[in-house]
Amino acid sequence: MGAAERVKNFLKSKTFTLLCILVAIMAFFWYFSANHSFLSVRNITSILYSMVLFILFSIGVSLLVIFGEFDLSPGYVGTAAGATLATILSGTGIPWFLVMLICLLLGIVFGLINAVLVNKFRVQSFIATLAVGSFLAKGFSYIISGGRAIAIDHPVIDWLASYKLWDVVPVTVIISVALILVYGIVLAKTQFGRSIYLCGGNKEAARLAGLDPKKLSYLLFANSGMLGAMAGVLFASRLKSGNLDGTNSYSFPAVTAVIFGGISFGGGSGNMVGCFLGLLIINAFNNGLTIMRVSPNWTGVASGALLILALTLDYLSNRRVRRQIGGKTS
Amino acid sequence: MEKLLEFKNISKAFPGVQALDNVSFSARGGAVSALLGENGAGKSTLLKILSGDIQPDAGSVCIDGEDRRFASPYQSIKASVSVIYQERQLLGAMNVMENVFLDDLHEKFGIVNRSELKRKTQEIIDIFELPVKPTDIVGRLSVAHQQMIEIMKAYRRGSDIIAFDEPTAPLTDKEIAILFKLIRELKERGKIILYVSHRMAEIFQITDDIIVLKDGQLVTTLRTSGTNERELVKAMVGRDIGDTYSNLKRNEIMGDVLLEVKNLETDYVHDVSFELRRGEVLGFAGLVGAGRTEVMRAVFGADPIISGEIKLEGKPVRFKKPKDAIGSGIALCPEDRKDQGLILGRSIRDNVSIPVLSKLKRGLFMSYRAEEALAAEAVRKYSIRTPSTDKRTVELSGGNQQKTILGRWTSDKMVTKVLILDEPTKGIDVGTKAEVYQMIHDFAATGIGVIFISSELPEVLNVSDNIIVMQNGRVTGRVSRQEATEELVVAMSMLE
Amino acid sequence: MTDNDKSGSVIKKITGAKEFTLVVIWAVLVLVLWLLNRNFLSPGNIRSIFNSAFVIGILAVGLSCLLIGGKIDLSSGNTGMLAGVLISILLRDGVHWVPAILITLAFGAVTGAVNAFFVNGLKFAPFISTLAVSSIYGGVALVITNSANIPVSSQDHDWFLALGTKSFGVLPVPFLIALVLLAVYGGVLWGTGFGRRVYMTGGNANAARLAGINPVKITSILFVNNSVIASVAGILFAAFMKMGSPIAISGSDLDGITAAILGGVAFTGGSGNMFGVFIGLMMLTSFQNGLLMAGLDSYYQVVAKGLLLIGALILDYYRENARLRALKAGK
Repeated sequence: MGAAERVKNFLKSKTFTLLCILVAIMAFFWYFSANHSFLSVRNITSILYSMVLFILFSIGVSLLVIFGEFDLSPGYVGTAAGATLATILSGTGIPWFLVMLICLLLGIVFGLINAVLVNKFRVQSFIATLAVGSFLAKGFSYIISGGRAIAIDHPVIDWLASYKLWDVVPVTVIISVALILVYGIVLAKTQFGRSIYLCGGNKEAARLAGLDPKKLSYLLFANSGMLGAMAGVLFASRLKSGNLDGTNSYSFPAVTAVIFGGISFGGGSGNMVGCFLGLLIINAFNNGLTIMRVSPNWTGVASGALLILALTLDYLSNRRVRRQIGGKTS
Repeated sequence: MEKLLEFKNISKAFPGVQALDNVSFSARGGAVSALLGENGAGKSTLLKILSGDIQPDAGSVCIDGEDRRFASPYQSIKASVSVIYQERQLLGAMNVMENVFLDDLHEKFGIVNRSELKRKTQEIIDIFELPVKPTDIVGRLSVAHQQMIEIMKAYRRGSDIIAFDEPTAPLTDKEIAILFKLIRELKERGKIILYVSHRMAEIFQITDDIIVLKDGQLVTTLRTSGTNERELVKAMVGRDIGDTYSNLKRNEIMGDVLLEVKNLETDYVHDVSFELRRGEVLGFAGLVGAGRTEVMRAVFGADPIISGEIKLEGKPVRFKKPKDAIGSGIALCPEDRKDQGLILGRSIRDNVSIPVLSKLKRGLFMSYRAEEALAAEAVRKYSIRTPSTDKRTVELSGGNQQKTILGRWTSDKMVTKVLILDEPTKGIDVGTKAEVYQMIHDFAATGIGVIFISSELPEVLNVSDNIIVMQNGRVTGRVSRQEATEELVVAMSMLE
Repeated sequence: MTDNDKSGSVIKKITGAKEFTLVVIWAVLVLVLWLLNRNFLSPGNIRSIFNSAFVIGILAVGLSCLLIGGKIDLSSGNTGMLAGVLISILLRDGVHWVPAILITLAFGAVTGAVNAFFVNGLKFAPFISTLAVSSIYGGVALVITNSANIPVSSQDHDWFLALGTKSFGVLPVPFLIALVLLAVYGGVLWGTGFGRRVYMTGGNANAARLAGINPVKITSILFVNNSVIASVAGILFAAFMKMGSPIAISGSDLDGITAAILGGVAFTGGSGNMFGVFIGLMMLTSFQNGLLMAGLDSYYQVVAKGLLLIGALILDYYRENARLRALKAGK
């Protein structure tokens, strides 16, 4: 492939479209923000900081969507994990690492419940995960915490929430960026990642060719639950309490980012670079609204509108693909 | 005035294949015109254009001299055209009368007139001499009765043009007799009838004109009364079919028993037993739906087994999933290449490497070079026509898709002992078919046991060493190639 | 056929119907709840069950039609909520209640058309695009109300409030309206050509299309219909609460779906009926009320509701399996 062709392909790619949107948003807010503070180091760090939880949620959901399933539960699972962390840490003498392990296990359990419903009982994944998340995990958070926000006072949690590398980069930013890098490489380069794409393309064909979509499905739901729980732990550490609404509303922007990332429903396509860019777009946009002092009541409208925008982009690029291969795909 | 249906210079391309290439012919009222050709000749595409399901790239459909372009099935129905599809388009959860009167529910002010529907449906049922009630749920009827209901749908409309796509495939003799009676009656009423079938006997029994297609082009049009089977076959395949088989270099060496299946019982098949030897090509003949595919899926671990015994190289095995079967050296090329064989959105390379991904790694990561080498070898070995292994398999022609799947199972990283080919030549052109036959015997020569399922009798009779015949989920006969004749196998696969 | 045979077959027909199983389950549920707390069947409690059922019931009517047609809408809760806010604002600003209702219903129709455009025009996945739309409506409601309730004054709008608060015996007016809607739509689905085409579209869209039916048109009508019905729920709830709240009933669409699926509407489309939905609704609301009466924490109710929805989905799986097995046996 020649260099010219490579450039041409890049200009046609979704990554390029996303970069353009990102640059446009950045330019807009930079121009209109007071003292051009939008692009200050402090503000950029704060955008990255606001992305941390979304990154964790998006990784799990991305893998599932590429695989051809869906997950709306991790936000609620995060809340449940946060509430569990606060309750156990404040009420018992169990060492902090064990408590964290319990939280992650809790996430895995919720993920496995999703997987059972989807694989064993053939419930469509979005309704199954919505039910498990918005009823089971949410109810669990209420029950374990007795309906109160329990304060956390623990040095490790403090460190997790406030430590900054070189006094600039928060440790959670490093954790999340490292995670998305690792998962990105796993997805792009390993046998495991390849299997996800192949199953997402056509599960039955993949099964008949010797892959094990069922096992993969359990793994990916468990993984998504675990990452959701991890995000919940980080969230609780930031608030220093197990908040009852916690990360409930976080699944939604994560899904938006996933679709922005060119990870289409129906499975089999997309990558982590797009997902990361999608998250940058959403968080830059929300951050911009905040520094321009737009009422927080608008966030729901903004995130819905961004999701519609992401879907529209997906539609446009799918139309191009459809035209190329003449309609009938899997 | 006699009615006239004309196809004028119709062309239609799909990715990787020119389905129709400048086809022109006409069909007259009061006659049955057969559309004849092998799988992939373009018959179904023509019918889909006639029904408005798809639109031609060029050319037009003329009815009584008037140019018609059907943008949707609705327009085609309005122009008095009915097409009976091979894939039945029924609503399994609804009853007979609603299926028959799908697009005309006899509404008065929007309210369905059930008693009227019931009465009219009963009239049609009587004409069709079918033992069903208008209120029976269609999904619970037998396949043959479902097919008759599909035909009722078109009959009820009283359309001037009626096209049948392989209507008799799931029918028994009794229903075929009724159907033919109805077709003759429609003919006498001056209707234009198009009739697609693979069964030669039927063609001579019921049709007046024959239109022969091959690889999307019109070969010739003939009067049925002025031709014979031999001439038709020659027109269809473009050469004497005998050559294909006599040029085949057969594998003559057979080894010990490789795969042994005893009293296999699943939801679909009953008491199935057979043996496969090393180097043997074992044919499975029978009608569509006889249970051949289901036997193989069970052996392969794709469907659950109720009881029975499977031995591979003398050792009892029972595979829970295809992965385990593949690990033991069994490979399956499914009948439905596009939905079950290939992952259409992925490249040739990705499709070839699936079962051996773990052998193509360098450290933790997939090795591009190893994968590319594997795929390139398949492309070279089977002369798959493609500019590179990057090409997505959706863009390949049927033959090249099949070769990609064969490439997957016969790479040097695989240890395939038993190769199951389910309708491997479906929808691919004659030239490639001959290549596939040769491949089958080349595989056999390396000691692989090949199971070859095919619904095309000449092919399964001539390529296989031994033939197993199935009917209604049971084995009804076993013959060697020397003993097998078409009459014998047809009798085993159709007679009670 | 003798009379005896006939009555025998009628009984068999009734006991053989899948709705019969549902009625039995419901009856057992009611019996158990009554045994646990004898007040369960008191007139006051029955009225309160009905009061808690009408929003879910009305939403379930539109959602069932959509589910039978093979689609879904997760925005109907928020559409209803926004409709309630809208009519409260209109009434506050002195619009007569009749035009106010008409304007609100028209608003509902527009939101339905938006859903139809996204799903049928741009081919978005229904659940995700309606979720997006839902989020927008939620935000809009917060913005226009400044996150405060908008009261409807009882002096100026007694006629309107009567819609939500009057009752005949144990039957509150809004619940009566829900019953009427269930009956009317039940009739439409069973007896009209349009209703049958909804089943055809959901059962096998391709067969319907090849027979000249336009699935896009059918499902578009269903989306608009669903949003209009959701607005009705929102209007009645505003009349019931005497105010428009920017957060109330926004999650009720999931309850509506639960009721529909409990009542035998297949998640995959093409089957179900309104009698079943009614039973599903009564099961759901009796259950919720029973938990409340038993003095269970509201936390546990969230979980119990989830278990009920999941149970309904699992039941749907077994029903689907039975359907498939019947098909296989037919062959």
